[in-house]
Amino acid sequence: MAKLRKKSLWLLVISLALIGGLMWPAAQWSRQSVMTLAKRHDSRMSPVIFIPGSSATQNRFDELVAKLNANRGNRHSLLKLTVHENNQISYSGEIKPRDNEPFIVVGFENNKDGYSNIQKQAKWFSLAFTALTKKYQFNNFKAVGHSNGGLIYTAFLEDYFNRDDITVKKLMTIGSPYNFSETSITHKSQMLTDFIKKRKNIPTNLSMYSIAGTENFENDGIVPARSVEAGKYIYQGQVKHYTEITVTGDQAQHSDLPQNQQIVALLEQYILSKKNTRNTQPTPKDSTPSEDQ
Amino acid sequence: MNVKKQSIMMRLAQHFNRFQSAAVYQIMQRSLTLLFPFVLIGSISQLIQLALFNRNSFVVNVFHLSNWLSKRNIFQMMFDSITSLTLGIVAALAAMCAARYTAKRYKRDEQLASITGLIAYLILALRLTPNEGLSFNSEMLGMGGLFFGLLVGYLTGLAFKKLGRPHRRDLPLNGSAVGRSLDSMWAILLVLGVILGLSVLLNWLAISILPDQVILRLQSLKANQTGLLFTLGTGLAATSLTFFGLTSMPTLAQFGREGIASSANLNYAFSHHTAWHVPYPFTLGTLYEPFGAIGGTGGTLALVIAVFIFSKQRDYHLIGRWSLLPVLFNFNSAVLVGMPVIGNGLYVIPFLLVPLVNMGIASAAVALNLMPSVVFTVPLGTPGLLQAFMGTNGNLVALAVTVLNVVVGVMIYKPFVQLADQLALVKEAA
Repeated sequence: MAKLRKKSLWLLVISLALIGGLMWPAAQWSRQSVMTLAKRHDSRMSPVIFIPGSSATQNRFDELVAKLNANRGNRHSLLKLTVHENNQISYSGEIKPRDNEPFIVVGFENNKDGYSNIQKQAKWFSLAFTALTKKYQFNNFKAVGHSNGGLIYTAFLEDYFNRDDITVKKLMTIGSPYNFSETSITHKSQMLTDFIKKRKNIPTNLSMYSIAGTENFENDGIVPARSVEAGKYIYQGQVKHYTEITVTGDQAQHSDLPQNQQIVALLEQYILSKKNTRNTQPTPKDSTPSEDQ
Repeated sequence: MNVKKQSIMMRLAQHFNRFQSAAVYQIMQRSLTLLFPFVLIGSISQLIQLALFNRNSFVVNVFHLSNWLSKRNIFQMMFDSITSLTLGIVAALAAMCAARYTAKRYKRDEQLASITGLIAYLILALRLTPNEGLSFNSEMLGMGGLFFGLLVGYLTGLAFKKLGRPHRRDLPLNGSAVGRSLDSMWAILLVLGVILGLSVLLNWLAISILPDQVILRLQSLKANQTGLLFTLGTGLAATSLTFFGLTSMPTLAQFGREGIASSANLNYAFSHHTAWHVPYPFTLGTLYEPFGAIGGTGGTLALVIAVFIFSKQRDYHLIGRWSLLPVLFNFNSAVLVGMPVIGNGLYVIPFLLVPLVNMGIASAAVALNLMPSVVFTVPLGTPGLLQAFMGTNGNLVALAVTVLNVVVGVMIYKPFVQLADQLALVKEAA
């Protein structure tokens, strides 16, 4: 009987000693983790992360950035990332110290069109995003995708983005063909079907703006307006706000959209933070309340 | 005082003895103990999978193993499968054992009864979907479905008692067994028919008979509820559901992790750089996981230690030794099934009392400003003893309160463990 108890108690003592030995590394870890999280929490950085469309590179938004900076006194520095097919990431440009709203463009070596490529690009984007979060301690960001860039963002939000320490506050997609080149919603592409199936993964506190360009009543020269509109089946009802905006007139052709003066204004109005801006556009009354601290 | 206490225990023992002699009770307890090896293997595999092969786990985080791990997916899949096929189907196995023991007791065909029980429970757990093959409600099959597993098994056995003929013992092995199967045909048909109807009804109504979801919904509905009473009450409800085999650990692990209160606490802690005086110190998240369930639901670690110190029964010691490792990491299924604790009238009082007392001690310590609240998230599979320590960012008083909680828990379990010894002695003498 005594032997039985002795053996059990020895086992207990040894296990407790092992647990005790874990105390020091455990304390180290929690100190480290709390410090990192606190830094992220205190961070005022809120980058705007751009994804270009198919066949476009990380330089796709240069003109847009120049226009935005011209309006706003060169406040935003520009960092460009390219994710290569072998998952390596190369960087150009830089984020200036004390820039709280830097622009980051993520391009891909394989920038081809097609659903299978979009899925790959979403995975590559998730790698770039993780790398960015490790390097910069932001707790929120704003997302802009042109054309297929919006589709990559949708795939990323549904399949890869599940962090509770980082929020995506706003998403603007510009001429994104949620139903590829289909002009009717009755025929749903495989991609749209998948997007709708997984829509519950999209963060519910997101404000989403979907911009369509139109040269005529049908399309912007490349993407049918109906296909852009199909985005509502994914986002509407799932996100906090879903707004559709149609831009017409000069430079409303698909590839011109990123430097379209109206869209530049919309970006300033809806995506960028307003503090200390020299805003040349009159602020509309119904603008969303500023969420920055 | 001591005499009085002894007389109370004696009266409890008498009640318990009457309780214990009921047929249902014996069948249930026996079925549970039979499941012990599989639950133990499942728990250890779950522990390995969670502690070593999950990127968010304690060991991986603390020892920075994540790069090494990303290349070892195969192991994770392996252990995942082992867990699913042992711990993950334990309710179905329970149905099988319960049917077998019931049939045996009433001298009916036990083999056929056990197969029928198993199939009946699988039908109950079936998810009827139009375009897929067989798919099951995995919560129904796991630890959370234990109660219904035992129930289905028992009812199957009863059906055999009513409709089957007594077991023909003297069948030659080389002869035909058809006659034997035919003896139980009506019982099998009745059980499967009734359970199929029930399953279709449940699927049609799209409801789950497990109360897990109710508790979770209550908890999220009341995410703003931050009072101590609500916390103690929900903790008690969760513990009693576990006691009756009506809920499982994964559900409980989600307790208080989400909700407005916990993020408000976290926000406060980050912006003030301290875990002291957070806005909601008495929530499920700050009390239940770190203090109310050290070693798993019901403060199981205290039970195991009490067995080690006070028990004189060899079986108890062996079960405790085997289960110690998972219990240290809060996986207590093996102890719950092995002792067994589930549905065991002997342990109902301490099992429900220990979490309440422990949470009470912890909230008193917070109220008296002896320690900060547990607000920081700890990695998966953190040992129960270190949860409060890590969740307060390394506060030693929190660790001391955890240890005190275990000691108090051992003292509460002590008389009941000793009572089990006495009952065993009485049974041996009889």
